[in-house]
Amino acid sequence: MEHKEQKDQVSAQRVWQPKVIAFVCNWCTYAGADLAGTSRIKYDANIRVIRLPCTGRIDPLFVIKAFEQGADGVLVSGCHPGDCHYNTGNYHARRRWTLFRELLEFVGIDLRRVQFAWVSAAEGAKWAEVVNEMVQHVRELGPFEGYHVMLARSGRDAWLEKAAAGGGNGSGKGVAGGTPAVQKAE
Amino acid sequence: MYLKRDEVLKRGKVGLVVKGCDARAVTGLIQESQVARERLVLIGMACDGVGEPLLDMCKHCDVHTPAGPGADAHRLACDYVSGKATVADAKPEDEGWLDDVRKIEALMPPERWAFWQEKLSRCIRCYACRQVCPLCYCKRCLVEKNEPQWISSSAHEAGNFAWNIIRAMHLAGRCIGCGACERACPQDIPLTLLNKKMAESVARHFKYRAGYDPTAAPAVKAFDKADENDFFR
Amino acid sequence: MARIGVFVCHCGENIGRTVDAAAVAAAASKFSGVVHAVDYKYMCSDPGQNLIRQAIKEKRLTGVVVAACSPRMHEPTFRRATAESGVNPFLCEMANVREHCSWVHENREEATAKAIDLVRVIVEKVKRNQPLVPIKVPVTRRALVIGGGIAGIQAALDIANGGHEVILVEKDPSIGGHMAQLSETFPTLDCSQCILTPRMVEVAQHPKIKLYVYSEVEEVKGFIGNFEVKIRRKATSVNNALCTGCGACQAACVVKKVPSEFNRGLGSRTAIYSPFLQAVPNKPVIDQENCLRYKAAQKKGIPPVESTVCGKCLQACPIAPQKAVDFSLWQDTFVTEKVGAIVVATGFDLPPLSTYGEYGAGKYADVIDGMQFERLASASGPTQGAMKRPSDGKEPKEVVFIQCVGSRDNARGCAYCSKICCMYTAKHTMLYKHKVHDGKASVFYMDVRAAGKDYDEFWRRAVEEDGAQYLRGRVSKVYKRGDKLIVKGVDTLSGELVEIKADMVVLATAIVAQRGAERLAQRLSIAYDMNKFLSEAHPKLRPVETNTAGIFLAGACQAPKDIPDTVAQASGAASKVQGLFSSQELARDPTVAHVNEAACVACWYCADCCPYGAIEKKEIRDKKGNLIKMVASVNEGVCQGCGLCAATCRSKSVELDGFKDEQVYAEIVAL
Repeated sequence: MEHKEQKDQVSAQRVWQPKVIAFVCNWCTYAGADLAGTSRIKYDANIRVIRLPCTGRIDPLFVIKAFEQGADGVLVSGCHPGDCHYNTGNYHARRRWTLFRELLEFVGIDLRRVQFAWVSAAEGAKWAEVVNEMVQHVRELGPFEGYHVMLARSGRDAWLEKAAAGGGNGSGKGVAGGTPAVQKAE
Repeated sequence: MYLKRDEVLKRGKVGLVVKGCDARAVTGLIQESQVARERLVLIGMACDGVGEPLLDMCKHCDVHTPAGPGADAHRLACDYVSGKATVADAKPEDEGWLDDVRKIEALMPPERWAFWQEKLSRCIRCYACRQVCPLCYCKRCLVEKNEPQWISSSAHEAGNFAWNIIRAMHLAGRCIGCGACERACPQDIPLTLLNKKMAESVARHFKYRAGYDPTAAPAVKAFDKADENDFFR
Repeated sequence: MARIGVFVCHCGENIGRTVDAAAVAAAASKFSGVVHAVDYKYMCSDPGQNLIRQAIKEKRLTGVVVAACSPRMHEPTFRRATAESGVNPFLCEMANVREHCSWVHENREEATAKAIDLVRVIVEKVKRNQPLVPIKVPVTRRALVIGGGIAGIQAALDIANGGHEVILVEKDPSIGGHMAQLSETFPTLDCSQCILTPRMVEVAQHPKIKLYVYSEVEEVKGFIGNFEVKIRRKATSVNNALCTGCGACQAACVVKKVPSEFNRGLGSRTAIYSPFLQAVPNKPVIDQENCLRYKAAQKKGIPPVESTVCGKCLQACPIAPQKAVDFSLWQDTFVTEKVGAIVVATGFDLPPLSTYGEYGAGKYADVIDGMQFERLASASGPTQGAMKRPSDGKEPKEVVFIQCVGSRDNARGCAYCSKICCMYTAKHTMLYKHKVHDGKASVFYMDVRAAGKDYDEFWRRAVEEDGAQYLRGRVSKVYKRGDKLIVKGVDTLSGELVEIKADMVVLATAIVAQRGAERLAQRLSIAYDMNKFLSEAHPKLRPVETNTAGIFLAGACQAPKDIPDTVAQASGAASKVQGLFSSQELARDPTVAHVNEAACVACWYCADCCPYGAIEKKEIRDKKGNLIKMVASVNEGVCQGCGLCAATCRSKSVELDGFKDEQVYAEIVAL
């Protein structure tokens, strides 16, 4: 995987940049982010959006996996209560996240790394704010050393080096021991 | 968990001797359609607590005597109840069962992280916790699913962390606090701490306690429009 | 073995300016599984689409990734191009490098790096995409139109004339909406009711239109082609089958001082009433809040039919032997209708006058809003069209019109332009001058927005021919001195402070969203904007569609609009409905959930969470018919593809096509 090596070199040279992964619903937040685009509202580039139909589709597993991929922060965002395209998906999601975030807090994860937002299709500006705020928080917290060290001890040697070098961006590989599905399908 | 086995179910009605806490597990199984009440003959046994010394869960037990015939519809009524407990049930306002949870909560986040890193690093992924859990009844557990393999099956720290977090999450609002997982754990991981924390969250946010009302909708498959919303930006 | 083609669009300069499209293509060409990667100026153009078609053939692509604008914009375009070359359209996905990248980031290096990541994510997803075949569902070829104003009337007539049944629901006792209240309309000054009432009658008489007035949509279930709508028919206490609309009951009613909604409070009506003379249907309703018998019955806690209070209307009703006024019809009833498409035409609202206290509104009777002026000027209005001011009935000799009251005013929560006020104010000055020849009309304005056919000419006529005095500036205060209203303002063009002793002040107040628009939107699962106006699917290219398939918008429920624009949009919505009804079946998005029956343990968490009740309990039996077990099973026709079930299932036994765990996993791992 040549691109990976290239990327690693680049990230080693650069100063650390937060890696924030966002899981958003298609109908509100994704559209809101589109609106931020059409309105040309600028925001921090350290965010990568994964589009899902509904916040109800977002599984806590996604958040864990994002951290395993070296994310320094995870953002979950969808339609405001009452606005869900699927009527009640976000209500169920809200219960799920109410519990999950308290669990993460209980095991020592700073909740500024896991944030939740309601961003409607009309709230392009709010999306930009939410992203900027999130990235800013993560910047203040620095790389998610705790998780990175755990990953490194789990066999991802590259992590330790990168953490030391100040590079945080993940590569396209699964956690050692886990099935690197990316390669498997090829 | 034997209740679910085909060879048991094939034989028709099953007689089951239950303590109050066991009745809570059965309640959970009924709520989740894993066993039909009609197929069980429940013999309730009053219980003053077990273990030497007394198990922590027994100290805070509020179901020393299982409900018998004539109990209201929001309690699982045993067909027969034998005896009456000599100790008083814990009161709803008794928060003693949360003492150890509060201790962890009082720590600073990095200390909590370090605490759990140490505990969870011991996990050898024997899944005894899962095997012994009355509510872990899936035919194919998530960790045994590949494509994708969300949770690494290797007993390394990242995999252990993911497993134990997701296990606690899957039991949130369902765990009846029997503590079997922790007793079965060969590595002495304080698993009930995670479960209790979730039970506490569920009770605080959703006013729900698992395993009491066989007619109630479990907290995680219900919702209320007025649920807490403050943590959302 | 995947063979993915990646096509990176420059979108002219839109992407190219901040994202190095060539570098993205170069990086993508090195991703595993990518056999072809190019960049091109305009991928959505025909030559651009041809690049995809050719590459599919020449490079035997098994999947297509287009890095361009939002998939909400052009996903259908590229999926069609992909399908045309024989590859299943669901094997084509878009990486959003415009709205989510080039337009929101400034640093070229960062934006390019992000674009590469976004492409990698989508490449990994597409590798795991599976061909999906649209699900065929039957279409109920009947439409529901919500709102009986000019938008709803036009949409209903167009659809009905196209040969399809229409259910038209109106919340008031008559159709007609705001247009029925207007006096004359710009830019032609033709009488509003004269052009509207024939349409209203046509609706009432149309064999394909079923009219429910005094009714509201209570609940909407289902999906495009197959909606089920529950309609609340508010109790009218009048048997419409018997009523001839003679008006005897209204003449007899003793409650005579209910402020008339139709006259916007300038006149009054009775408790049993029909809102205006040309009402369609011309059948009265009893307003339960004001009827003496209803009030008495409610106090006693008995049904009104058992009360003996008043009953003048009942006695006056000449219908015999059974009276048309019928107090046994005192409870709301419900009907359920099945429709295939919905047109929302719920219109706008006007804020209560008291909102604008700084102009004396709500305090002085002679400070009125534009709609009240319409009623004063209307031949059917409280003064039969005579220009008399509300306080003392004197003819106002000096009238001040104030524009942009509330509109274009962020502090008031309406940052937007209400669009129609410039024109109607010009019209008002003309109507006024035509009635009061020696009167003086002054207009305070911010700027005159008169874009539209014959519009600019129209307002110039107001100034040049009818002598309206336009003062560019704002009014700071309106207060009373004697029987005059003192209007203090500034003329910014001359820089002078202006004080006008007016007899009447007319405020061009903001057009706001219909009350309850939010609630209706939630019932319909459609989006609304920050001003509670309903959102179209695309601001330019899909102005009549909503984000929910099968639901369309017409008129001022979407944004402030004048009559021509409203009618045009209503016809647009009607043609969309007819397009949908042109076939018996419709192809539905196949992103639906599936259950792995072997792994399912029938805990029913998925079934109980499902917002649509799409998950059924299925029995698995052996050959002899013995029940082996129960499993969850998804009804594809009902499933809407939210994926709540998939996330809820602990054993991951439910998968959502298009967003399978494997796909999402690969996306995360690609980052």
